[in-house]
Amino acid sequence: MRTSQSRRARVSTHYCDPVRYRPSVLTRRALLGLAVGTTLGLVGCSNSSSGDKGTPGAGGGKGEDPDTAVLAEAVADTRELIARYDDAPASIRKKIIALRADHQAHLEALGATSMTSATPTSAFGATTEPSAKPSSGPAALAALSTAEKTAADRRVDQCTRAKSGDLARLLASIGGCEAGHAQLLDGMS
Amino acid sequence: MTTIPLDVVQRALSAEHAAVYAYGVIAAQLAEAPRRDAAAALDHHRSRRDRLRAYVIEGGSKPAEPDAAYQLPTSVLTPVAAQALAANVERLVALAYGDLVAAADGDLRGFAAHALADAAVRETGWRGQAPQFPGLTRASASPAATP
Repeated sequence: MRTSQSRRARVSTHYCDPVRYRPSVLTRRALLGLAVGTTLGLVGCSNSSSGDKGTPGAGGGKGEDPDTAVLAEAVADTRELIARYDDAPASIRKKIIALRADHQAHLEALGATSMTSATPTSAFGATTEPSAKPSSGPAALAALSTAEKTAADRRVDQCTRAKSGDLARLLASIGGCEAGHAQLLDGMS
Repeated sequence: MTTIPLDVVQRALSAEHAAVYAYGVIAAQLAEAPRRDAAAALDHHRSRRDRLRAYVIEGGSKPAEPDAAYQLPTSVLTPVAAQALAANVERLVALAYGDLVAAADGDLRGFAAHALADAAVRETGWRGQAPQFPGLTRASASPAATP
């Protein structure tokens, strides 16, 4: 290891980390701060009631917070994803349990525990009939992968519409996880 | 209208410079199939690096240059260590783009969000596990012993 070039110490320290990364531990810790940060950000935004409305289709009752609609969309999408995992055939449950847990963590980060009533129209559900549950393992994995890809794309879109930078970063991060899920699911089938 | 948060763009650019360097080293240590993945990743990072340079120039500043040398975890990388390094590189890149997502708006934010997601996908490939919040955790906390 070279010690003379320490200009990039910040980067190289991360490279040097010999211990295996434990995303679940780190992010859980980060979540506590994050949930608070997001909430504060939203409260802060609600004071400046700009006339700029979000996209149509997610109009909840409360119009004063510019990020309410985007946040509610993300929560609804995440709930929809969790429901899809719950509907998966028993044969693949074990494989996908960690992915479902990620979505649960996303839901918590979005502050969904305190906004159970704010669920808007099922943005996702509109595209897929609830009756079309795949019964075979491979079909279910493929369907979940497609749903995760769609979710990741939606998160980028929501991210660009968010007024709060912190919320945008959270949405982009959730989208990154969903895109990663799609890759894992593709590898499972 | 998109304003360009130059400091944050420059940090993302520095992260891409580091990634380009690291992948050059990483690719050399890998067997054929993962080496192809590393080569593809290298191309993507170069491409994003060039976009970031263009954003800096558009913002009226001079793009950050790569460092002359970067420290690596060990002088000899095993294939396993090379893959772990690649995963960590992608996380660092994702974090830099997370900052950019938060600081930017408009097209630049969209660019950063896509770049973050791509880094997360590559990290997933190297690690075999998806990062839960790839652009979020700044805390470099020592990995806890208990899951």
